[in-house]
Amino acid sequence: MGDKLVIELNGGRYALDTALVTGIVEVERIPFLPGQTSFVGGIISLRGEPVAVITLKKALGISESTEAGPKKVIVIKEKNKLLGIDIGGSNVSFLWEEELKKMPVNSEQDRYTDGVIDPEGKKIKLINWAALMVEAARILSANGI
Amino acid sequence: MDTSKYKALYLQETNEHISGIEKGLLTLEKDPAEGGAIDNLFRHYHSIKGMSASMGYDPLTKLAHAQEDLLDKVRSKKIALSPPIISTLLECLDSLKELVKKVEEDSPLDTDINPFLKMLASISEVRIENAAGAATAPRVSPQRETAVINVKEAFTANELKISNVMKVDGKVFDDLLTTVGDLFMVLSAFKPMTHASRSIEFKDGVHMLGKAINTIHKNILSARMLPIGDLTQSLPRIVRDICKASGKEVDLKIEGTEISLDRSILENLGSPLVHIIRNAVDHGIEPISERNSAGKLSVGTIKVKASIKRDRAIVEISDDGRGIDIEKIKKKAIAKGLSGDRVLAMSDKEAIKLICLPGLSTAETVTDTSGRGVGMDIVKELVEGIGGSLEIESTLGKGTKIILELPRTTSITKALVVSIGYEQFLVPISKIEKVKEVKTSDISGGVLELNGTEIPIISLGKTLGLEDSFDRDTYTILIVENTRPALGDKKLLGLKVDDFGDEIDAYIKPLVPPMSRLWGVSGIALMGDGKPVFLLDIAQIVSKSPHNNTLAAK
Amino acid sequence: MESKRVLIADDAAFFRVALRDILKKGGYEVVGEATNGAEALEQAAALRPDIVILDVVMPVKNGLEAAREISQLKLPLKIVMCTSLGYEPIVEEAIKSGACAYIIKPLSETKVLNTLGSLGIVKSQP
Repeated sequence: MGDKLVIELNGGRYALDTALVTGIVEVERIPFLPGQTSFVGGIISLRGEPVAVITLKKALGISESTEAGPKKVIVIKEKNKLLGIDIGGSNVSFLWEEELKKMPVNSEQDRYTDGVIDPEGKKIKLINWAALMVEAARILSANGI
Repeated sequence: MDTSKYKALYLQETNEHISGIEKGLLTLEKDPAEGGAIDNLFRHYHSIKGMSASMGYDPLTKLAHAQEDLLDKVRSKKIALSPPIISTLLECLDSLKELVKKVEEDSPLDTDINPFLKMLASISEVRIENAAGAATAPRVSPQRETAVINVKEAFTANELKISNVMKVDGKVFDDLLTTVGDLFMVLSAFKPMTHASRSIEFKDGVHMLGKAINTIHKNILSARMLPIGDLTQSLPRIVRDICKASGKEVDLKIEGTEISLDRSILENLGSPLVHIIRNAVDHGIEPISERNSAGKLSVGTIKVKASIKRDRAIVEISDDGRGIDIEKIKKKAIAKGLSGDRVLAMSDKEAIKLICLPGLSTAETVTDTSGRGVGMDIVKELVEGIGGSLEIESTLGKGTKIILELPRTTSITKALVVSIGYEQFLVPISKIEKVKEVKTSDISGGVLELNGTEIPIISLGKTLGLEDSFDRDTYTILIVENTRPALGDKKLLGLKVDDFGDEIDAYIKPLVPPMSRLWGVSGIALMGDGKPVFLLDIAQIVSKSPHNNTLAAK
Repeated sequence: MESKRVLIADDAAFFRVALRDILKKGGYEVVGEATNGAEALEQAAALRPDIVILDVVMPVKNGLEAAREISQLKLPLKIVMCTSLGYEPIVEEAIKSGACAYIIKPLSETKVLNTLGSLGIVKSQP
């Protein structure tokens, strides 16, 4: 299943494949992206490439507000597509493949999660980054005629 | 084979072979027993022949072929190498050179090669007859002398020269351009510092740096420029083929072929251009009988006209066909699910743009050449993909004109930095008529008075979906061309921003997924400090804003 | 379907570029480019292409010699010879040397793609 990066958001835990992560950026403020609505949160740059950012809390329906202050943006990359995931001031930790092997995956799904693992009674939802990417692209192109 | 692309390579390699031949003939002159030299010579001629044939350069092919044949006979010992053979080959080589030079200069290959062909034929003929007995005949010294003189002449005539045409991979230029883009961004980080600095040396240094970067940039750009003619030269053939398939007759006129564009833009223009022309032949130009009964000439006309407008290239493709039936388009749009009220309220100019919606421009009949036709939505997307825009004008029964406005060079755009609240944006200088700083009270009525005319004002921030910034005492108004029918027939329009900063040369990156279809922007630049800033698509913003249709200056 | 992997050998960059462009259009992957027969042999062994296109007239080692030696490697690949107009007699020798098809220059897109298309390559063929 591969190593996971675990994000703690308001008590809930969400995991992302580390293989997808190409960088983590800390920023004071995320510049505005024209027409940004819904959970699209702005634009940053990573190693000379612009990256559209989504706000994870908004996407998962945890919170509607955008917090002020420094935030972490996890940048994921698949083929040539980049997407930044704003996790605010949340902490991240790791779960290694060795530990994961023993864990059963519950196929409980949500709009942007596609499974749950349960190490030591701590529920961790697996983020369906592909669904997030598709929805972000839809939002970002919805404004033309 | 599309030969224009390979010409530089052809010239480079052919010239290499020619100097190889020269060297080889000289070696043989000194030491006729040098066996490897003949093999090498043979290969050089063989290569020139093969490449020339692929490029369609007949005289070169024939001449190289004849020399190759002669050498083949020498190689297979059918004839003996002799000084007259070498001098003949050298004379023929000069003729080869002359032809290659003509290729390089694009002049017709009108050198008469027949005397050379005869010479080559007679020399190999004679030797075949004498092959048995005379192959080892003693060489006659006077002949040898003439050959030496010939060699010397050939040598001095050409001295030591390398080709002016260099073989460079297109990617090298892409990389160079990226590097220059980085330099521009470094420069834009320095420039504000010079405003604050008192050091004349520093100011001078940055100024010189700027000048040098500009020069490099200009040179790289001009090396990348290709005339539009390179692209349009194959159009007559394409039109002929489409016409043949559809039984129509079309006269294709092409103007402005000398207008040059960056090779990457030109490359990507090919496919939308062909789609537009296909559509024009298939769906625009009427069948001959229909044209006759409409009182038109049976031969239709399609005109491709390129011109330059400020820093953009304009390519117009017009036909004298049946034109676009706007009522039909409207009906189709409603059938596809667009709101009837909205469609019916549209002006003709707005409604004609409906054909750029997916699925609307496809024809009812399927033709051989374009199938159901590549939709105008795809064409529009392709044109916008290279930073261009597309306009359509049409009169029912008279014809259709499609106007493409394209950037001439990629990547570096002169842009003004403007700010709205915390945010910064870039606006292409080419789109700005005037920049005016105003007091809030000057624009309280939603219009700005300028030289006696009232200019409607819209808030750029609101248009982009930004929340209102704090109230200010002064604003900056960017005055741009008004293409927005909702705002009446005023020629100009004011875009309200908070403030403006430097004019910079921004290295623009194209937008990639998931942002590739972002509304209101045409690219993105990273500033000196790495901050991403969007380049706004003013034409799109002015023509239709999804966020705000009211005049908002309060 | 996985795209076929092709090795090109021609001493003229002109033809290598032309071939590369044509092959790309036809959906082939150009895995290597050799400028003489010896390089072709080396690259055929190292890169294991599905198809090797060999020009006949090349320096160091010509295309026929290269074809013969590549065939001796017994790799699952097909050899296509490329010859110039006027060298049709060589075709027979080429077939003897292990080639299974030939293209007569000047090159054209249809010529090349039709020839390669007719090879009917099965990737897992021994």
